[in-house]
Amino acid sequence: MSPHFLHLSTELLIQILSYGSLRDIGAFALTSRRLYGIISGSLYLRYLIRTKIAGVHDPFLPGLSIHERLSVLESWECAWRGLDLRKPTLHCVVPRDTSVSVLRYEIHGGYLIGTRRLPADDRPLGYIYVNLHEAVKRGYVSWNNVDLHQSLSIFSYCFNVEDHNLAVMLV
Amino acid sequence: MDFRKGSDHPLATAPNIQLQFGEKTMNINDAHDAHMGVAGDNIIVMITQARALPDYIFLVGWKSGNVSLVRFSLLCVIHDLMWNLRF
Repeated sequence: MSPHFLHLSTELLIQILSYGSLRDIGAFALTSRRLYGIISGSLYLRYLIRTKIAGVHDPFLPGLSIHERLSVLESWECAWRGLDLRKPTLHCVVPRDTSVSVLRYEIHGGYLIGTRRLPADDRPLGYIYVNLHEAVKRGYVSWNNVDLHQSLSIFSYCFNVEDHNLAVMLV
Repeated sequence: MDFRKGSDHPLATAPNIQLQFGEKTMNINDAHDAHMGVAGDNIIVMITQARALPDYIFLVGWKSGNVSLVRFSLLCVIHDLMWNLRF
């Protein structure tokens, strides 16, 4: 005789429920006191429910505990609630001399980067950047400039600042 | 390249890497469009050429300097097959 679903161990039930959608987990919680107790008592399932409600996937590193993940999610929620786009936290004015021939701005790993793809106005190719986290803390923007010693035009830029401090140019 | 300093990256054995496959060297100026993305120790380079020409995807190990052609369009295969059949 095959065992009844509710006779499975709590760990197995949590594992099975973790594959369910938000609606599935909610429906299971309404079917019995035991399932309700398991779902409401499992930090892991509560974490999954919170992420599903928020419509986000889990971008955190595996080393974080569920408790830490939950607190980060809660702080994110608070930050989003408190976000008021009518009140800018930082004025990012690009200096006239470094903005010449900058064609595109992009954000990578907390850095605002402006790339120069074509030589213009005797300005060498390269990029300017500002660390937005530091700028918000200081209350002012400090631009850094990187000139490249290449006469060719740059076809494409690519950055990975947060993991490798890497800038790649396709020339 | 070191993003903050603008100098050669300390972990990259070859600061300048040529996109090669077989004995051919890719000339980026012939490309219609190109996109790059960093995935761990590799850079994925996607190159789109004009309609009749093949597209390429290169996997470039930015630490090791190794270049691999991981995909090219079917048009290239058909072109090569027809060329071989003709002779």
